[in-house]
Amino acid sequence: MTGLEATGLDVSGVRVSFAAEGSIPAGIAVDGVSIDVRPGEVLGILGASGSGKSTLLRAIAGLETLDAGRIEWNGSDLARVPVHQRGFALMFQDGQLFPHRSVAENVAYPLKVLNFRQGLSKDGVAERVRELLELVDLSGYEGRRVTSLSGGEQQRVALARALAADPKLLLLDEPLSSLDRELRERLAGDLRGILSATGTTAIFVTHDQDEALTIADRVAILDAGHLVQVGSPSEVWRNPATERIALFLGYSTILSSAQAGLLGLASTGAIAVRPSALVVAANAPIEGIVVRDSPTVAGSRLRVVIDGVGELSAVSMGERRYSSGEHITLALDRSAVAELP
Amino acid sequence: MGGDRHPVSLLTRLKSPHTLAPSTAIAAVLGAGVPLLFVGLFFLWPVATMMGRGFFPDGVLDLGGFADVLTRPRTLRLIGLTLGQASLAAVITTLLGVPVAHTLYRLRFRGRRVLRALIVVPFVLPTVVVGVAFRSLLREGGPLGFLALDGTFAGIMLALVFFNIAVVARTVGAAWEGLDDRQEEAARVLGASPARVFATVTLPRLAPAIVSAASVVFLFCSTAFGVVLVLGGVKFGTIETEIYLLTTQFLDLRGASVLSVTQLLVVVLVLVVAARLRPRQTAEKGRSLARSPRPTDAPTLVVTALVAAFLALPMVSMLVRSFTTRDGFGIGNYLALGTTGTRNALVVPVWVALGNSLTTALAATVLALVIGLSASLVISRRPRSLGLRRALTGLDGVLMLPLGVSAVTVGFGFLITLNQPPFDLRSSPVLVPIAQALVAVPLVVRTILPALTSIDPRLRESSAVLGASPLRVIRDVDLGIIARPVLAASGFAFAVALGEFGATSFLSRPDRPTLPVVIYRLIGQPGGDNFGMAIAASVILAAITVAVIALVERLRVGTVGAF
Repeated sequence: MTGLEATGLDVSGVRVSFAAEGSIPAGIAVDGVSIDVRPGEVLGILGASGSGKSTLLRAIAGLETLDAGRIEWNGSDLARVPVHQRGFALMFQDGQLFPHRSVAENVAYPLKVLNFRQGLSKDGVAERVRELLELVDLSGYEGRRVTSLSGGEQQRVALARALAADPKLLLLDEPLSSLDRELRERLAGDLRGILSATGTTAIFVTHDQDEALTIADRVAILDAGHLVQVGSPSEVWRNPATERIALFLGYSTILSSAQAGLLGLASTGAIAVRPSALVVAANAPIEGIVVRDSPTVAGSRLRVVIDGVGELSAVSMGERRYSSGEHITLALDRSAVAELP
Repeated sequence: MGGDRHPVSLLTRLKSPHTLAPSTAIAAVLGAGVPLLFVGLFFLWPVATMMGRGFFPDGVLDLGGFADVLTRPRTLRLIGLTLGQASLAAVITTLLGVPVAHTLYRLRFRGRRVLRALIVVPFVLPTVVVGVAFRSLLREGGPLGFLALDGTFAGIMLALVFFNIAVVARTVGAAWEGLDDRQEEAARVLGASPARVFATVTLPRLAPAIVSAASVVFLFCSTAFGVVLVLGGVKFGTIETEIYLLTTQFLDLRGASVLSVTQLLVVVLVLVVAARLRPRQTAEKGRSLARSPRPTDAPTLVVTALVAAFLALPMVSMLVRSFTTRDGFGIGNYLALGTTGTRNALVVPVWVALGNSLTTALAATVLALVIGLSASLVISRRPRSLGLRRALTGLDGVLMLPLGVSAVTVGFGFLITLNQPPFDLRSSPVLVPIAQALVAVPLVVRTILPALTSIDPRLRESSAVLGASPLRVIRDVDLGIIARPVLAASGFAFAVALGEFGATSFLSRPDRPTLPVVIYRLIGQPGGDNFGMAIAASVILAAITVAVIALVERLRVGTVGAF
């Protein structure tokens, strides 16, 4: 029996469709997706809105019915295991804290539910809640009403509640998307730290590539219900499998092999270029003419025309402004380009 | 991209454990089954039997009864009167109720909550008490006796409007409170005058609530019984009072059945229209801040003040009259409540009837709560299958039916169906609470359901993913969040059961009358202290009702009394 060893999650050939709702016709949200998650690993699922990533997560949690395929944990099929007996936890984008319970009661909720089967003393529960709140940096918030918390605090409570269940697998559905940028970046780092510290196996879904890079050991890219690329964050970034993936990952322009040659890049296939790949520098090899200059915090974001290649984005550092029609020279940052297969 | 669906995948879908988890299935069957059984046994069966009497007088289909009864000049006049009376009352009530809704739900001022509570009182007041209050106001020698409105169409109209203002004010108010101001602000910034903003932005969004409220008022008025019976005398009536007269005075059961069927058809038609137009309470959830009154609010403030005076007048007049005895001012009428009235008009003293009322209403409340809560829990679910969703809408509609179907028809139906084994309940005291619960269930559902449907389904999913079984999810999430609405609904159901008269007057046994029945009996036996006793008893019933409603209002549940 394969169930003896801890192999983690195995998703194979999963298909989920959704029923017609109002004016939206029925359709297929996730089609033929296969992926696995080893114990202790953090998998990021990256996709645009409507790509089916949340549906896939909900299917793993048991909240969606599979049309086809299997989901297994440590080798045993989960099809007949209802949501509440899977031992997973799911954290929603907007937390979904229970508004009629305090912070401590929210965090203690999974402990009390489990207490049905095991047996944890009242003091034990309080102690565990204290630990969890400390972990998410909210010590002393036990008695607060969840409705009085800020968005970031609510998400921290939601994370503590999800971790309280001591889940075999933690599912995070855009856990940081509802927060503002600065908070999001800080919490992404915190989240990575907490997941490592607790050794939690997790899948999280996001449309933000930076977030995925910060948190995930491995990323899977979902497009229109299909899994199109899987790999470590740097692998995926360096070698996007298709033009579409490259554009989704923040590459702004796709150049043919001939165009790339004019920039001094020898390649057999097309080249994807990030907006920051061309940098203004004195006496650099590439010549261009400025079309537009938009100031940014660190310098300028330029649109330049390069003879034989066309209009491209470029950046410059410092306070120097450029006027339209000005001739400049540019250097190519090779870490910001990727060759497509 | 996978537009092909294999038969295999369809099969796995049908047999999916997700939709057929045994505990969920059991809960669904219980949740839908208990209310259906109750409504089926105690409402549909009696009412269907009533209809059978009309269609199959001698066991064979005979529509002659319809031709016969419906061509009687008196019947035609009463049907016309019922419809005309209900339409006019619905229009007047709506015109008065919308400004009141604006004042009470969009403006902020001292005493707003008190006014909101007071405005519900007439609605839950026993119909007989409303009748008595208007009699004491309008009759010769009363404060408004000079208007000579006693026993006139205008008098009945006043009472019907009095009774139903709350329905419009609270239904429209609840919807208005939830409207996002920013659409109005956008229109104003684009140059629309306040009147134009109201006509082009606010009114269209309120229209479903207004139509819904108006149709409910129409229903209540077209089945009005107690008020019309007390105020209408012999000249005015409704189909409802006619059913009562045909049954109890003329023993014309066939005529009564025909009228019941006619009334039922009208009611179902109006309910279907109302259900189609009923606003989805969760559709709009905006930021709505009540603001301080401005000079431009003067018209609605004046209407509200007049309505408040109009609502207070009969109550105050009744209170004053209750202390007026034949020997001058005093508490003689209240002391007389320990007796059985002049010339022994009653079988038991009034205090005993009050005790009966309280215990009966309590039993009815428990019943209505169990039925209404389990039905609401089931109706609030959104199953994936379209068929199941339609079935739930149907269940909702069936539960609303007792609201509009004549209480007299129900009471009468009880008598002709529940009179043989295994349901020989005719002489049993349980019939009265059952009938009262039937009337209260729709109100319980309408109070609890909006709170349940506004729960984000992902909140339940959160709980399930964290390990809670389906029943535990209901306990922890649903019941936790709706605790206050449930409490409010119980108070509301209690008040309504306490004042129920139509069905109770049919079903209560002579030796166990309820307070409204006793009050009606006292009015019908004039002379001596009886009218004074009726007034005093009405004051006590009204006081209990007001106290219960004040407690309910403290819970601040917006959906109480809204449709």
